[in-house]
Amino acid sequence: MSSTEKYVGDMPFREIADTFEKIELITSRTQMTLYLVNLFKKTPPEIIDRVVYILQGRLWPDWKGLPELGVGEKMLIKAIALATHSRESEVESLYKSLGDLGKAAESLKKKAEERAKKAVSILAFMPAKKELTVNHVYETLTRIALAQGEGSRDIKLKLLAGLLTDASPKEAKYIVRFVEGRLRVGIGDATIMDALAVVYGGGAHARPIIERAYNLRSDLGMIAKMVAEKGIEALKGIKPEVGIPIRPMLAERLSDPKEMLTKAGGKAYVEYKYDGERAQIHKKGDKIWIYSRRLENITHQYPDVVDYARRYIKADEAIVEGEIVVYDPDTGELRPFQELMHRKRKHDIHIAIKEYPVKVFLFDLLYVDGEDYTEKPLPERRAKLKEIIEETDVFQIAEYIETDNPEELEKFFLKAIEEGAEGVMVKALHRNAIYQAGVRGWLWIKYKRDYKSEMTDTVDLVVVGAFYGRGRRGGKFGALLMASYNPEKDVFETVCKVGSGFKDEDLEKLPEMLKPYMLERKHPRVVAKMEPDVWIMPALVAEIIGAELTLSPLHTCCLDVVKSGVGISIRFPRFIRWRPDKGPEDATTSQELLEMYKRQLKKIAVQ
Amino acid sequence: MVLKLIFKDARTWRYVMNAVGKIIDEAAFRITEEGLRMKAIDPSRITLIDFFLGKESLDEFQFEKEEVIGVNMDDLVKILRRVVKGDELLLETLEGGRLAITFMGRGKRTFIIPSIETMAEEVPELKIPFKAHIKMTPSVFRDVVKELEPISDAIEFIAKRDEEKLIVKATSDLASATVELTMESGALIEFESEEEEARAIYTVDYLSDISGASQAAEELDFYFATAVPCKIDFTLPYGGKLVFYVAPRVE
Repeated sequence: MSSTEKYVGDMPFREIADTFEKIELITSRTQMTLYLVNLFKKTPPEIIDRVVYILQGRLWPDWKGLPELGVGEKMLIKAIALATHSRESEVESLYKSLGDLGKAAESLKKKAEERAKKAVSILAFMPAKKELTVNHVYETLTRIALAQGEGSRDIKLKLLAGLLTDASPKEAKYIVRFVEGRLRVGIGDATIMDALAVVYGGGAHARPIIERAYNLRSDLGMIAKMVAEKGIEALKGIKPEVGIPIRPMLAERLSDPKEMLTKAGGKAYVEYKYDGERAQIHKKGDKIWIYSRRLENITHQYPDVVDYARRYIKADEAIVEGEIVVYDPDTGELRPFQELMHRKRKHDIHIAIKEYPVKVFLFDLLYVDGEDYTEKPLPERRAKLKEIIEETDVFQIAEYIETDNPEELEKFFLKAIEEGAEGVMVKALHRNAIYQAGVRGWLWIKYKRDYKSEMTDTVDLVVVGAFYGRGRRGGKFGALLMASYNPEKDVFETVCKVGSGFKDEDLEKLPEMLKPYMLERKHPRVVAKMEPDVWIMPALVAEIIGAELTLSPLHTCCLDVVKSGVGISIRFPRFIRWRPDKGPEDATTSQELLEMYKRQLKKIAVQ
Repeated sequence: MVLKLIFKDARTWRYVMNAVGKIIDEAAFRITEEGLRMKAIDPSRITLIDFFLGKESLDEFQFEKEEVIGVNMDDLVKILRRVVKGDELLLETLEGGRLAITFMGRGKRTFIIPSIETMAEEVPELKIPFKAHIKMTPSVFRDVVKELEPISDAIEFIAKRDEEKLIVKATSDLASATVELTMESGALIEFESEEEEARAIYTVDYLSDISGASQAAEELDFYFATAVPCKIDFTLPYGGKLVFYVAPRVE
C-alpha cells in the first residue's frame, strides 16, 4: 500500500500507533497536523469517528453518559503481567523506574518477543497472528467499558489482557496509556479539526465550519464522519439540538474595571459570577437534560433542578445556561462551591437534596422552540430568556446591572464577593456579541479577585441589628447584623450579617435575649449602611469566624480606609458562641480587623 | 451450580495433573457443551498442553453455560494426592467463583478452592507436517526417557523408515546412550514414516515431566518429523485425551 492510499472498511491499529509515535516526538502543530492529515487520508470514512475518538483519548463523548472503561491501575498491571507472561511485581518495578505504564508494557512485550525469537518456541509453529485493527481495538475497549455488574472485573481483565497479547510492543504502549486515560501525545481538538479541514474541506477555509459544527454538537467523531461521508456542505446546516450539549462560551480574564468596559465596547452587563456549577439545561417537553461545563451529563445529580426546569421554563423546547449554587435553607445565603460536592454521589441523592438545596441563576439562552439564538446578540438573548422564565426564588435570572461606569462595576463586584459570589462577568452588548460556543474571547470578561485574605482567627463582634428568618426560620430571627468597635470614634461599625452556625436552641432563645435591647431606630453609636428588620442596642458579643476577610460596599468597618466607598467584611461568616464575659467595648476593634485583613492578604494563584 | 461433572477414575486426574503441574502453574479449564478442555502454553513457550474430556467420557455432565475455571496447579495437585484407588471424581462450580472437588469412594471428601483469574488464552491449533507416527505403550516411552535422562539434557529421536525402527539417543561430552525400539521386538505397536530418516532433538526436562502422565494412559501415539515439534498423544481411560507438543531444539 502506498503511503496515502485509503484502506477499505477497517484499518490496522498500527497506523494509529505509528502516528502517535511520530507526534510524540514533535511539538510543532503544523507538523502534527501533517501527520494527522496522512492518517485521515488512509482512514476509511466509516471508521473515522472511531479514529477521532481514539485520538481524543476516549471512546465516545462524555455527555453521552456511557460508562468509562472502569479499569484501575491494579487491573492494568495485572493485564500487562498476563499478556507478557511476567510477574506483577516485575511490571510494577518497571513502572516505577520508567514512570509510565505504557512504556513498561512496551518494554515487557519486546522482551517477550525476543524470548520467543531466541528459543525455538512452540509459537513458531502456530499460524501467523492477525494484526490488530482499529475496529477490533475499539470494539474490545467498548466491551471492557460496557462490562458491568457481577463478574465484570474478570471479563474486563481478560479482554484487556487478550488485547495486549495480540498487540505489538508499540501498540501495547498506546493501548495501556489510552486505558490509563493519559495518551501523553498532545493532540488537541484544534489540531484534529485542522487536519479534517485539509482532508475533507479542501483547506483552512473549511476550518470555521467544522469548528462551529463541533461547538454546537460536541462530538468531534460524529462531525468527522459526517464531513467524511457527506462533505463540508452537510456541516453548514447544523443547528443546536435539544439533548445534545453545546460547547460553552468562555471568558477572558482582566483585573482593571476600566479596561474591561473598554474591551466590552463601553457598556456592558455586569453579572454575578456565582460560585457553583455551570449548567446547560435542555428541555424538550417534559424531558430535561443537564450538562456540566465539561459536557458531562449531570442530570441525575439535580432532580430538583430538573423539576424547576420543567415548571419554570415556559417553552416546549429550550436550551438555557445558568449556575447551580448551594444555599443555606435557613438563611437563604449562598454557600461555597465545595458544598456542591455532596451532590456528586450516585446514591441517596434525595438526602443530599434536602441537606444541600440549590438555586439556579440563569444567564443565557441558546435555543428556543426551533430558533437558534447562538447567532443573536446578548440583549436579545437576555430579553427572550426573561420572557420564557418564570422567575422564582430558586430559579431566577442571575443578579446583574447594565453599566458603563467603572466605579459602579467595582462596587457591584465587591458586593458580589461579599455575598458569596466568585466575582463578576462583564459581557459585551453590541450587535456582534453573539454566543461563541466553545470559544474563549473578549465578549465575556471575568473579574475575579487577585488577592484574598484568609481568616485564620475568630473575632468578637457586637450585635447591632437582627433580620427575620425565612423557610424553617420563618417568623423567628434568622440572622444578626454584627459590628466591630471603633474606639477612636467610639462607634460600632458593621462587619457582616451572620445567619450560619446557630444551633436550633440558639435561635429559640434569640427573641428572649434580644428583647431587652430592641430599638425603634438605629442606635446613635452604630454606623451602618444596611437596614436590619430590627435595630439592637450594642450589648451582646458573639464569637464569629469566616472564610476570609473581604472588601465590601455594604459595611462600614474601616470604610474608605483600604479603598474609597468600601469597608471590610467577613465572607461566609459563622456564629460560634456567645461571649457573655465581654462587653461591647471589649469587642474586636475595626483597627484590629484592618490589620488581620492586611496580614493575611495574599495573591490568588490564577487558575 | 452451573457445572457438575463426574469422572469414573480420580486417579487418572491425579497422574495427569501431576504431570501438567510440573509444566504450568496455573490452568484455565474451559467448560463447553462438548465437555472440559484445558489448553495452555508453558511460560517458556516450549510446550503446548491440550487436555480434553469429552462428555461421553464422563459419567455425569450437567452444564448450563460456557465458563472458564482458573485453577492454581499447586493447589490442585496437592488435593489430588489424596486420591486412592476406586475413587470417583466430582467437580462442581459454586457461587462466588469457587470450585468444589469431591472424591467419592470410601466416604466422600470435598475440597473447595477459589477459581483464580487467569487468561484463557486463545491457543490456536498447531499445523505441523508430521512425517512419523509411532504407537507404543506409555510405559515404554517413560522407561526410555528415564534411561536417557541422566546422560544429557536433550534427546534425539531418529525414525528409520525402512527398518521400522525408532532410535533414541542421548549424547554428552562424557557419555552417550542409545535405545533402539522396533516393531520386530514388540516394543512398538505401530510404525509409519513418510521420511526415510526423520530426526529431531527435544529437551529432556519437558519429556521427563510429560512422561509422568504415562501412569494414567492406556495408549501413546508419538508423532514427529525432522526439526519440528513432537506430539505426544496419551489416550486416557474412558476416552479422555492428554496431548503435549514440544518444540524441537535446533543446534
